[in-house]
Amino acid sequence: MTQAFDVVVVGAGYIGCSVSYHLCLAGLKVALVDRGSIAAGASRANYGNIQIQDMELEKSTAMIKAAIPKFQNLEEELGYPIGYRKIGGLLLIENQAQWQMMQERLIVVREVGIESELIPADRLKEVEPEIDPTHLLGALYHAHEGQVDPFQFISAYLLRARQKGISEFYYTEVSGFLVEGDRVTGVRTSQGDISAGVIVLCTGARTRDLVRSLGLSLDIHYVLGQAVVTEPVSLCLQNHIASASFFERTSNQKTGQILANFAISQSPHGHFLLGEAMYEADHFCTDVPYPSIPAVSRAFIRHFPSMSELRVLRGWSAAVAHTSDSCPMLGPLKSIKGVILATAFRSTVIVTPLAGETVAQLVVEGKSELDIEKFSPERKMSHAH
Amino acid sequence: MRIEKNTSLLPEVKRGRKVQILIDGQPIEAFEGESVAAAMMAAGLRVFRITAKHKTPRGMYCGMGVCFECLVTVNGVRNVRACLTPVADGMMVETREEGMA
Amino acid sequence: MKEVHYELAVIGGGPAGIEAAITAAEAGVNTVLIDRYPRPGGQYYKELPMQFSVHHRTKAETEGDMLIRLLSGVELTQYFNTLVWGIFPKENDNRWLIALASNDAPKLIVADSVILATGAYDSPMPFPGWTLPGVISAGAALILLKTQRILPGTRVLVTGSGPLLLSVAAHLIEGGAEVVGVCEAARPFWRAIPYLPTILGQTHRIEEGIKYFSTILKAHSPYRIGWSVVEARGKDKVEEAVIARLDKSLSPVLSSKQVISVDTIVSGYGLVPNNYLSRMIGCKHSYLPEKGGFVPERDDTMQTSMPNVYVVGDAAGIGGAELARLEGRVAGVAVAGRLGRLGHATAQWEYGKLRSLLRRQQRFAEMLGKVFLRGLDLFNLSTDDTIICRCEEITRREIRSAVEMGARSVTEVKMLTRAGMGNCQGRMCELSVRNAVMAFTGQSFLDMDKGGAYSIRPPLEPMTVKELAKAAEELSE
Repeated sequence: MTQAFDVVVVGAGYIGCSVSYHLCLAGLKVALVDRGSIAAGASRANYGNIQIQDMELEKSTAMIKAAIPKFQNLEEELGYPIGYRKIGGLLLIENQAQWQMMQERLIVVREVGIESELIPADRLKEVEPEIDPTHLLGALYHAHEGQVDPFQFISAYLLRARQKGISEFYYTEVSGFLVEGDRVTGVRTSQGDISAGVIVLCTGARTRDLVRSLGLSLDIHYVLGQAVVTEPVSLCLQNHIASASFFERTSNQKTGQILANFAISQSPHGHFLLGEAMYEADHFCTDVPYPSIPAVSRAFIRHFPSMSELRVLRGWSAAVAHTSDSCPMLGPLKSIKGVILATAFRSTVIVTPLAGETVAQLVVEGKSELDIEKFSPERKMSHAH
Repeated sequence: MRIEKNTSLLPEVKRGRKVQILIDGQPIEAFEGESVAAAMMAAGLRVFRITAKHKTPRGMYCGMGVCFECLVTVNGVRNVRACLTPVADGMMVETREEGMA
Repeated sequence: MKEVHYELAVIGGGPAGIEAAITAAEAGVNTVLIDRYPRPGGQYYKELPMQFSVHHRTKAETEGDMLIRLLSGVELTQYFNTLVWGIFPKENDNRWLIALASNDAPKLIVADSVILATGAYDSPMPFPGWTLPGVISAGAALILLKTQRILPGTRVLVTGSGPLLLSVAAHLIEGGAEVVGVCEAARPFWRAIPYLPTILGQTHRIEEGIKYFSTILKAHSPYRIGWSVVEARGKDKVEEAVIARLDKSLSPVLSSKQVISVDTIVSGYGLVPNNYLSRMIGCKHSYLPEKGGFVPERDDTMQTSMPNVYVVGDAAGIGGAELARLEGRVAGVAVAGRLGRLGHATAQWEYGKLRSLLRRQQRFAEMLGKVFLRGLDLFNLSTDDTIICRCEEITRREIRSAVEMGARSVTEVKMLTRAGMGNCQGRMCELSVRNAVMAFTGQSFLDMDKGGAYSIRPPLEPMTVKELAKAAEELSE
């Protein structure tokens, strides 16, 4: 059974749904395919933060500058609530080396045009009243970040796309590609073949395995992220919070090494989201390893001891795509025609609207407003695994 | 209401030591071996909490710790399942706490 | 990392778990038995609290007591008041890490094999007003009566389906309550005919049933077949029960409605397997309504699709205490055999003995499943105003809106409405949400199966950050 569309979008997470929406807006016949349900992968494990906290800031500056304004009228444009709220961002600093790195980052962040400040420990409670600054030297503070409700956000894109006639195929696994000569003409799935002029891959951690059948070995791997969610309490966290230790470790990471990137957020409904990330080279697993939940809990109490009686309702993990130069894969494949990648974004929410627009431009006009050459999927990366 | 008679399906028991617990400041009698939920039901106290969203009263439902309806505050600790908590002399129980802190 | 090692961890100390633990331990398997309640026996063999004493026990209770007494004669470790909050695969081998929350147990146990005997809980049956204080499950009523000697109320309506109904009503009457009605939702009797030989073979069950029934008759409690509660009314607690006859589609016949003043409604519409641990581990499950819901797929030694993980008793499908005990023994033999503690011939002989007994009990369980109704069969008793997710206060109308917005699976409904995201993590609502999605979308069972189920992740129950952090401390030793 073969069905024909203009575009097949693989992966119904943040990026896939935004891409689908923008393609439908452009009047194209779109098929959205996912091996699970909506947001079955990394998007389901996401906090919904609009942040630049852990983003690469050399090559991505133009992208971030273009991404931020897209949120101004987004809720209006989509016509559905996305749970948007304005909060700040803090990168907690625990030692001199981190302080140094944050000073350097401050300069770059300001160049991107983002208001940022290095706050010493004794002033931390001004921006985050519940925090215990005892183990901290201070933090890098971004006053104007934001947050959405991940499910509402994705649903909004999808509901609009549905109104514009998108076809959705869930629990449908893409097993390979249909190739004619030098171009891909469709995908093979567990429900039959789907032919299309263009395939867009928004497949996160699955991307590497998927493109292997095209004879390509893309330099995209994954990080296993774990998080837990607590019971709701009244909104008290003023910022989403991460640790500067992430940058300290990134500069000398090894394959398979366990890293803790501590992340705390409070959802619009009041639940605390507590997380950590672990690097895992080959082993694709969605279980929550035993050490994660206790480690995340311990890290949380260290900085928020007044909240130690908060009850954790559940934990989960998801594989998040990762590239060694920390830049996304955004653009067409060069060694074969008909495939565009839009994945491995870091801090995905912030670029979700822009990524969707950019891919639609690529499909319709063959070029994009944003300069995406440095995000070419087949680029050589310096710290290749 | 406590059952004091002896029947074929419910042979008479000798309860544990009598204790006193406080429910919202009101003292009620209880016996060691009883759960807080049982002691409250025996005293005719059925409302354990008020829900956060619709502000509706809830009471014990499953009796075995699965449904999380019988949540009360015990000696200052919130969200404790009364059906899984054995009574202790002088225990202070508060009901009707809303869902949010 | 400090870990304590066992060859077998049996989780759940009811009839199935006790038999499994004794069977394995007697064969020399290094076994630990873990239960979250203070004493063994589970729900079928309810023990009185330690602080209570009694002169004599009923015949049924004595059977349970005898099994429990056997535990003290066997060499094995037992932890009570101990919750298993997570089971994790041990990296690079087929063993299992079991995380415990307890005052005396270690925080972490490594087990080569795991037998899950986690039993079942009352099937939620959403109907208008079911969240009012005073509406309790049949299990809750029996716990109050049998382990606490407390009457849940004085004017009680008993409503539900199945043999448990008679038991609850009889106990309530003997306890001194006025049972204002007993409503059996199913019109069971003709469907039981093919199973008559099986039923007649269960003489003790028949005896019990007759005893309960005569208690109900003597008390002049109206017993109605094909009837159910359809509404609970009251301000802060239940004050009135509305009952009605059910038509062929299991919807209330409006003209038959009767209003009765009550202070308690006991609702007993079958049981749901307590499958969250087997789902957390990743065992394959099938949705089998006649077994109570999602049940793990097993081979005939009770092993699931995950290596060295077995599920026995009601946790693998509702079947009663006798079936649970037999399954526990089979799994105990399987583990002992695998470890070489039982010779192959001996193990085969044990299986043979157990198999014919198993078949009889399985047939009985099958009959119960076919003849009686469960909460998940009575979707038509809910209305759009009925709360479906009790924890998050989500009504059936909100689920309908989610479906209108395009949700086609329980997970999508969960994402859009938050149903299943509260304290009980979907134990009370998942099957009702599934029913609602199926009814509103017109999907088949197969479609719904493709849509999946709530994914179950640790911790098994809400635990404070403080308690979880303690586990971290032990890990870094």
